[in-house]
Amino acid sequence: MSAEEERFKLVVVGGGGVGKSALTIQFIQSYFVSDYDPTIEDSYTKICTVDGKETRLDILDTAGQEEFGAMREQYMRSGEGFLLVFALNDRGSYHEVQKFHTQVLRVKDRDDFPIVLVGNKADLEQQRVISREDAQAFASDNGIHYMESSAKNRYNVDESFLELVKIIRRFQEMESTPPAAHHTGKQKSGGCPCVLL
Amino acid sequence: MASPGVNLYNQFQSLREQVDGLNEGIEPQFLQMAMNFEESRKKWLRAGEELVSCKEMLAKAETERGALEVKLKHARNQVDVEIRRRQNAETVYEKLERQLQLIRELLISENNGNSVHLSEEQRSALAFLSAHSQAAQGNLNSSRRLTTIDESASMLSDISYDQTDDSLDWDSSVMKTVRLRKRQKRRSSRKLEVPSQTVKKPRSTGRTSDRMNESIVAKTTITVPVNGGTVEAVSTIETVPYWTRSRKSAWADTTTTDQSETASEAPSTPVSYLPAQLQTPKANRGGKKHHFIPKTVIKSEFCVPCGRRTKFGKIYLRCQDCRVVTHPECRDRCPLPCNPTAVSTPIKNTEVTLADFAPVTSPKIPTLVTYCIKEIEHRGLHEVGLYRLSGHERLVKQLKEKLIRGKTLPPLNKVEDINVITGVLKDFLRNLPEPLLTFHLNKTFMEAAEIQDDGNSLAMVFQTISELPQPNRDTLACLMIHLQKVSQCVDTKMDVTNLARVFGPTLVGHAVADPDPMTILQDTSRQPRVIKRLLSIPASYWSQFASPANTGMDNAHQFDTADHKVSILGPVTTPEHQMMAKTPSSSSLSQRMMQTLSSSTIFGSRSKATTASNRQGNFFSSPQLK
Repeated sequence: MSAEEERFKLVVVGGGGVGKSALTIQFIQSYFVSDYDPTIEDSYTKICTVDGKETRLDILDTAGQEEFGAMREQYMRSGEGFLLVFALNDRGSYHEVQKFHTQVLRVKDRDDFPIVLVGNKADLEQQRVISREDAQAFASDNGIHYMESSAKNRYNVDESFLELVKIIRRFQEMESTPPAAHHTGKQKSGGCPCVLL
Repeated sequence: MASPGVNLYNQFQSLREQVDGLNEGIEPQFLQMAMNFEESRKKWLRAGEELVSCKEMLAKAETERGALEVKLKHARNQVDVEIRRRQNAETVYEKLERQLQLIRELLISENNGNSVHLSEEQRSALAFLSAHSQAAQGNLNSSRRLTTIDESASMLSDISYDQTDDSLDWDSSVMKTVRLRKRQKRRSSRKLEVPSQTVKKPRSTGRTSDRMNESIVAKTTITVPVNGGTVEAVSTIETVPYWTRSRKSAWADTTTTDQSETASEAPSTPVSYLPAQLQTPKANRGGKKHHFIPKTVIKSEFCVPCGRRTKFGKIYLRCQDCRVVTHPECRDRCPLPCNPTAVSTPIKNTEVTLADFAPVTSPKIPTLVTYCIKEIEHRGLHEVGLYRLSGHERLVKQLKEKLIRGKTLPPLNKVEDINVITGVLKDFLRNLPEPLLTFHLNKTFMEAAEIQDDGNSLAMVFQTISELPQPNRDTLACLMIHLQKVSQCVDTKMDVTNLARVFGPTLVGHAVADPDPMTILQDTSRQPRVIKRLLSIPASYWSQFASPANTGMDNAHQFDTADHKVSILGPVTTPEHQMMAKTPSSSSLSQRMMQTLSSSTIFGSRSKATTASNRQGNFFSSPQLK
């Protein structure tokens, strides 16, 4: 991993119409799409530098509707990090995102996984129905990171993606630590000092 | 001496001064005058030019006026022609009416004769009548058709119908027959004197006919006891905008062309249809009536019209068919029509097909679907992202459960989030054991939708639709009409493309129950195209498609029925019955006539070809023309 180019598969999931595509396109192409058309599945690539290290990100923008559930397992299996997006002004999408969270963990068959919870549409503050505290509490309970963003105002867009990259790095490091303890010791080494011999 | 000289000189001097003074002032003034003259000359010139141009304009306007007057004259002539046709139609109608009266009298006077004799006599009388009406109508139709073509080909096309020439020739004739029939119906309001004598053993049967313009379903149930008891006939006429009840199998052979005609006419006049569809299904007041049974409240429930609870120990009403609950005083405000729930609600929805949810009578649309659509159209048409946004999953599951298994239909106005209702509808359709477009037609639909040529593609799609099982087709039609409405509401931001994308997986699905990931991926991009094609079919097609005459290939032989039956039977369902539904009326005559008509072969021969060809034309050409 250290020798070749670092490459992560990020998946953007969340209910219908929460702004997954808007967020992704804002990140990739730096503009806000105002069209209103549901995504089936789009993928993007972007090379960016996180913590001084160049990383190639393959970002999969997915469909939010339950109808496309059949494709979900597939991308969930291949994803290395997930951006769970909901809209701060849509309670339904908040519930939806909790379901996605469970599903990711189930597919991955793990208790935790690199996931960032993103409350989008922060610009619509006056229409907000999900309080920061609620979302933060849910995130903390599940050990995931929570951010509020606005794809429209380009607020916390890059930050969400880059945060996810950092979390993935940390996670993968921890994963690879046990068999090869000091292989990739460049960053802060996870926190688990144990070495299995 | 010197003084006169001086005087003279002075005089001369003053004169010179005056002359000088005069000379000084005059020249510029003259110049000015000359300039003024020049200016006015120019003005005159300009005025003259204007006059000429005005005259030209006047001439032009006059020619235009002349042309318009000619057009007006032609238009007046056309109107006159129309009026004359109408009068002709009326005379024909009156003639028919008289004949009908004659038959009635005949039947009444022959009451006591033996039945075989009577029926033969009746038959011959009817034969005469039918032959006449055929001839009359046939003539009318053909002459009209010709003149219509003439009109359309004349220079006056701008004041003729705004239809394409292709559709014109049979469109207009069809419209005329419709007008005729409406008229007949209106006029035949006299009560029928009925003989109490019976011809057949007790029999109860329903006849439905679908009137095209208002899409009225006329249903007559006639009971004729063997041993000459009182003859009971119950007729209801409902204005059900696009669905009509299917006839009982007993009537499969005796159906009237009323239905087949209606079916075939429908797509020809999409414009006139639109308002009717837009009202549906909200505006279908006076549809199928509820069948209330009084009960005592033990477990409190919500009254559907007023939303308040029923109180313990009090009497409340429950509809036997759709299980709607109401206070006795609210009964008139219950939503109509009554949508009967499935006879046996399936226990496990994973093992049952759509047909199990659908009522046994046409249109075979599951109650859940119509119920949800009604609510969505009621308050969801301004919601951004309708069908795109997801409702709370748990609420969706709960509501679906209630709708499928509950004894009563839960009041949907209590469901705050419209996305929960759309969720239920989508969830229901998606989780059917087989997609709405079925497994075996999946491939055909996809291929049909992918044909480049719009006409061919639509033709294939129509073909494939006709192969769908009836519940699937009815439900699909209902959904398409609904989705077209949604797509027309800009507030939802859900245009056809968006809806097609969202409904692709739900309605089209895959060709197998358990597709592999690659197939899913490939199919998912192809599914929206199918929905888009389906949505491009005009609503008039969908609404007529589910009307009983067209349902099922197995019913195809119904088109053999002759359309003159319409002219005879149409008026017999008298308008009074519209007003008083379920009023026992004495119209065993109509039944007898129908029996005669169905049993005699004399009648079934003529208009086979015309109906068939009409239908053919409508079936394919109309949507392609648009």
